[in-house]
Amino acid sequence: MKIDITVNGDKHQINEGTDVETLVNSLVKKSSGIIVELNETIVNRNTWKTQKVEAGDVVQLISFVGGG
Amino acid sequence: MIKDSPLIIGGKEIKNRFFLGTGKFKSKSDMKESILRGQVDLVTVAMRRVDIHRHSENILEYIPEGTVIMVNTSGARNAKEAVRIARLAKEAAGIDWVKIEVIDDSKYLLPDNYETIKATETLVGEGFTVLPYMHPDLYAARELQAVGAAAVMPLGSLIGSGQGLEARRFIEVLIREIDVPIVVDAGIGRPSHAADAMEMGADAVLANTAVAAAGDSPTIAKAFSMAVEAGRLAYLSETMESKEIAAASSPLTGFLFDEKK
Repeated sequence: MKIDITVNGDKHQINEGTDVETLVNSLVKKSSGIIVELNETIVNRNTWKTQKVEAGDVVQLISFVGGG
Repeated sequence: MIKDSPLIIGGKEIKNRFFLGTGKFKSKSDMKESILRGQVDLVTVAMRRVDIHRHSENILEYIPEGTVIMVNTSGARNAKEAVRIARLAKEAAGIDWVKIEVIDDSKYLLPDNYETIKATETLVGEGFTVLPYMHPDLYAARELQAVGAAAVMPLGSLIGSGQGLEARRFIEVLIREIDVPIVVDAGIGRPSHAADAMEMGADAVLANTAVAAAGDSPTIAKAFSMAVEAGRLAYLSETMESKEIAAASSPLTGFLFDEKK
C-alpha cells in the first residue's frame, strides 16, 4: 500500500513500511554527510534501518554546505 | 606600543585572526586549498536541505582536521529558526560554535539585531559558543555581550558587496566600548580592507566572497592572512597621527643650496 509523506517540502508516495535507510537510498546516490530529520527530530544514523516512515510524516534531508 | 595578547574566544585560542567562510568556492578542493594556504584556523559552514537531484559531497570531509568549524544560521528569519539550526548542527556533528545570522530581507541581507539577541541568549544558555553577526549598534552590542556572546561580529558593509568598511565609524565605537572580541564580518572585498579593520583595533576579520570569488582563491587567502597579521602589528605599534600640513622627514638645516648672508 502506498502512503503520502513530505520530503524536503515536496509530496512523495512511498510503500507503507519503508524504513529511513531505504527512503534515503531511493532519493540520493550517496548518503554520507546527510542528516535525516523526521518530524523535526533527528534520526540517528544507526537507527535508519529500523525507523519506519509513517503516513503524513515530514522528512528533511539536510547537510552541511559551504557558507559565510 | 600596545602589549599583544592572544585571541581567546569561548576559552579557545585562535591563532590566525583571519576567519574564512566556505561558501561560493569554485570547488570543494579549491576551498580546502584556500584554508591550507591561508593557514586558516576557523571556518564557517551553513546547513541546507539536500538537493536530491544532484550528487552532493560531504563538505566537512574537505575541512582540514583541527580547524574550528562554526555553523552559521543563514536561512533563519527569526530567533526560533536560528536556534533550531544551531541545535541541528550540534546534534548531527557535535558542532557547538555558532555564528548567529538572522536575516529576513533578501535584498540587503541586513541582520535583525533584536532577533539575534534573543537567539544568542537561548544558545548561550545551552552551552554554545556564540558569535552573533550584527549591525554595528552600541546598544545591541552591549546586550549581546551581557547575554554571553563570546564575540560580536559587526558588519563592515553589505554581505558579498566588497565595499569594505562603510560602517567604520560605528565599528570604532564598538572597539572602544565593548569588551568581548570584535570580529569584523561582511562586505570585506580586499586584503587591504582587512588590514584596515585590524589597524583600527578589531580583533579578527571574517571574509568569504572576497576569497571565493577571487581569480586565485588560495593565494588571496594567504594575502588575507598576511594583511590581518600586518594590520594587527600596526595596531600594536600605535601608528602615527595624521596631520593637516606637511612635516619634513629630512633635516631642515644644512641644505646644500642655502646662501649664507
